[in-house]
Amino acid sequence: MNEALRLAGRDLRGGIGGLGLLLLCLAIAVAGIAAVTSLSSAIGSSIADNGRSLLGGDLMLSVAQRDATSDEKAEIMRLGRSSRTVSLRAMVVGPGERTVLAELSGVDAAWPLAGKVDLAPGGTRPQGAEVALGTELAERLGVGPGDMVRIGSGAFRVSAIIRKVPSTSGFALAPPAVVDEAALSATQLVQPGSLTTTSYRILTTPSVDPRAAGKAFQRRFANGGWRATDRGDAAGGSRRFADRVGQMLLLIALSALAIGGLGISSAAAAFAESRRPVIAILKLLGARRRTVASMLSIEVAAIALVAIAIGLAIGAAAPALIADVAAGFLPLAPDRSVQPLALAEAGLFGLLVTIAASWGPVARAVEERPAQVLRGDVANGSEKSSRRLIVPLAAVLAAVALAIYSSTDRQFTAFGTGGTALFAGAFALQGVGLKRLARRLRHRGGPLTRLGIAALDRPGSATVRLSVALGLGLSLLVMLAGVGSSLLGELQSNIPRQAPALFLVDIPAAEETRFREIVRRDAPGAALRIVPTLRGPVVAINGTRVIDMPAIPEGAWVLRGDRGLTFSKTLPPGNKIVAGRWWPEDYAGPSLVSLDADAAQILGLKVGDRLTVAVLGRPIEAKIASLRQIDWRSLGFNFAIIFAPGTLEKAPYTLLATIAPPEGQSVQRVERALTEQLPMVSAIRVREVVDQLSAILVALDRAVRIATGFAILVGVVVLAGSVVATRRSRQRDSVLLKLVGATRREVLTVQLIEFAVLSSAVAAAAFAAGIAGAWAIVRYMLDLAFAPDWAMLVILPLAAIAVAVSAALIAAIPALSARPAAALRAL
Amino acid sequence: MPEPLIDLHDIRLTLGRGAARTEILRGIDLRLDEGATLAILGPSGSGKSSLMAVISGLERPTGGSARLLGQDVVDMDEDRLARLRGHSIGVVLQAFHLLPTMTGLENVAVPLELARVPEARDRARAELAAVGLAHREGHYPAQLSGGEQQRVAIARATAPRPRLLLADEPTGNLDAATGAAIVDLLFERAGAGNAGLVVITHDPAIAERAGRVIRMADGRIA
Repeated sequence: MNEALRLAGRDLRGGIGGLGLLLLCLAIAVAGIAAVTSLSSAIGSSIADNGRSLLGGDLMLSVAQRDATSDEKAEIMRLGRSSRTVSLRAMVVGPGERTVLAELSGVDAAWPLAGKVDLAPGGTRPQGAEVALGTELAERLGVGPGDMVRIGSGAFRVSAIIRKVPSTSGFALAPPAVVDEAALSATQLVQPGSLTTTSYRILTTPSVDPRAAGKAFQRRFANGGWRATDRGDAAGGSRRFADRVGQMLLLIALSALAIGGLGISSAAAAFAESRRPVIAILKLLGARRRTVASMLSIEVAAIALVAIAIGLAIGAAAPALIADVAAGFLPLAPDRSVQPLALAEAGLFGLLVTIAASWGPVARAVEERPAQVLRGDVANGSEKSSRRLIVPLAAVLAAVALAIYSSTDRQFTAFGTGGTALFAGAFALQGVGLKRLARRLRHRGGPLTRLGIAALDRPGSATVRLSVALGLGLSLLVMLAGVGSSLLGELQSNIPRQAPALFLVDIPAAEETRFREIVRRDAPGAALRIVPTLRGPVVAINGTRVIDMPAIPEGAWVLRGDRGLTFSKTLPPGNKIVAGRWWPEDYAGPSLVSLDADAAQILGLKVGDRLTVAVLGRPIEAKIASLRQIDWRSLGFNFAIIFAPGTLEKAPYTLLATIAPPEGQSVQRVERALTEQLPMVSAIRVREVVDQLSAILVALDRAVRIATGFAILVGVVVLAGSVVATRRSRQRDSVLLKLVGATRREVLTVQLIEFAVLSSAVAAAAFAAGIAGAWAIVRYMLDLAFAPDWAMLVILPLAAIAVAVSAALIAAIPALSARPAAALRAL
Repeated sequence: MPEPLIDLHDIRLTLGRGAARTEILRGIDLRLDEGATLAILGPSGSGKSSLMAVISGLERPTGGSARLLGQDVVDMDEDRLARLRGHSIGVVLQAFHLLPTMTGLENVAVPLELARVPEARDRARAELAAVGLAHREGHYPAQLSGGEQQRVAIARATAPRPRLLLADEPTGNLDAATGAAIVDLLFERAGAGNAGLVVITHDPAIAERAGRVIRMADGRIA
């Protein structure tokens, strides 16, 4: 080993012979992976570290539409010190009758138990008839401290502007407004049936495990409809969101690594080729194969370790950098410290890919007979050996296993890597096809065209590798951009066109007639739909309590928290029965429900099964009468659970309404009238929701495009590297052409033809594959119409061709500008 | 009186910088008239090939004046030099240097096509036939013997009907019998086109066939 180390050191002194490309590809690819894993881990670590302050306690117990009973209160008291908050959506009315929807919380004196309420300087905690408003809310209302606002029936003085409040959600549809709990009653918004949430945040005593305590509480009051969130699961929504995005970015980064692997493989081959004479001479002098193999491996490993270190250093800086640059788009600020485990994972990926990509070329070089080299034979490799495939294959499988194992959504990663492998295989086939075509066409056209085309099939040409390297990144970009633009299009144009302009919540059932009158008067001709609603969680399925279920199936959102419930005689528009039957309008019998077909499938429920929901602490068991396919895109009232008449009517419920005015008519008048005359009613403007969702989607789309752009960058580096690796044959062609009278422009044209044909063919195939993939995702996974931004999509392959051709030409220039006389001597 | 094909005065060529700076050619005067033949003899490192590079316009001298076919080439840009070669100077090299991705016929046609000569392929075919390789026109360089490859190289050099033919050790990579045949062919093709011929060689027997012989040593004409 010492001998090999010494030889490797001496050998490296003479230059790294092609390993420069390995260094570049590996460093970039590892930087990408390390950045993604570090950022995910930093967000996770930030959630874990700040769970208590995000949640405002160790444990939060919430219940809808009611307060805790005395038994429940006693149990809460037993768990530790607690603080009670009542929250609901409410309209805040500012000067000039400007109204903005807010998440209104009435807080007790103990609030916040943990974490800090960050008030703008000069602000004080609201007391009496005072309110503290979130920054965004104050800005939209145009108010500041000292100004008056109206909430429901109460008038409040703004005591402070809240910069930050303990919150479990990174994205809130409504900004916060905080009043004293006693002042909440002044609003008169809390009525029986109002969609309130009462939350108890608890600082548990040291001996209590918050998670276990939460579960125990839910078990004890199983029919109470309690939801428990512990500090470890604070920001659960943000974490799920961050996980999903992280997962997707990791998949893209892994594709970039795979592309980088192709460059590493080219680099290792170039390195092995450059070392053929050295290996032959060493063998001639008595070196064993093992020594030579160790020497080469040490050299590759040394460069790879440097590359991995560079990549990890860049990746380690990513969380802090991204926290500064993209703070507004992250659900919460990532932990800025180095994430060692995430870096170790990225480093391991880099190592495995290096082994997979460089093993073959190194092994071939070691096994070549020295006589072949000393005779001056061209390297055509020793006999093919399937044994040589074992180690690279094992390394690839280990990398895939690591990706799947470390993933939070293993199925997604498994499908993703499978899909990527499929695409890679398809592009490799295209590369083989392109080579064959070049072989057939290389006698057509003038000498420049012939040379350019023939170069695609020249010995050592990287056409197949480049097809994969460029095609994979570009097809990913086209696919994701296609999905993103289709989604955005749907969100920004189709949904607002189809959806009603206003959603109204908390309409007291007793005020229905008055409500209808106001709408008829102030929004004449508007389509009005009203449905009753209550809230309550699903607490049992076929008699098995949700709390006792060992695992909640992935995607079973219907079991997560409170669900909106309704009852209806008729099948709502946009719903289609796919199993069972809808009940007759005059149904009067045992409780029946109709369930969303997708939710039923995830939970394994069918018609005839039983579902128990808790309404105001009372369990209600109902038989599933039918399953419905819901068109969620309509943004109308889409309830996963609809009861048959006769069960929920007796509970205090409120009404929900949608108002869709005729084209061009504003809803401002009706909104103002409702705020004045029915102050307890909250209006949600669809435009605002859409804008907020669009902003998130645009940010996501941008992140994904940056990541895929990065994969393309690696592909372009591989292309440039392979051009550099074939510099000898390029130099020979260019010098010989100059010898027989070609100008520099003509010599450049040869290269241009080669690169343009290659990148155009790959770009066309990648465009087709990307569009097909996007179409399939949008059509079948998202169930939307495929309507991407074609103008933008078409630019992508054209830009990729321009970038690839330019990079390749720049990489080729040194070979083309070699002095002919000197080059001829060297040839 | 017609201008000479080659007219060199006090040609100097220095390569490398600093400690690696080497004077390759140290004041060469040389003249070759239309249709004349010249052999340049000399040991390795004497500067023969560098002189050939200057004569073919592949290397720019660092001093002196050089006129080729009546044109001053010292300040001529690379593209004009390439065009001059393409039309009027044919070069044959020791290592053949054919384009490996092209057939014999295509290799011969390249200079004609670059010069936009009409019916380039027909002329290339005729040229190949003239060097006795009509039956091998569809073969790639790798499928041809060394002698055959050099014949293709000669056909490529003579196809544009150059006024000057340059050959740098044209038999260096060939056995004696094949080499002799190649030399015959070279002189025959130069004669047929009334082209001036410069042959660089180690072999005095080849040199004897030229109308004039010069010897080089240490960058100078001895």
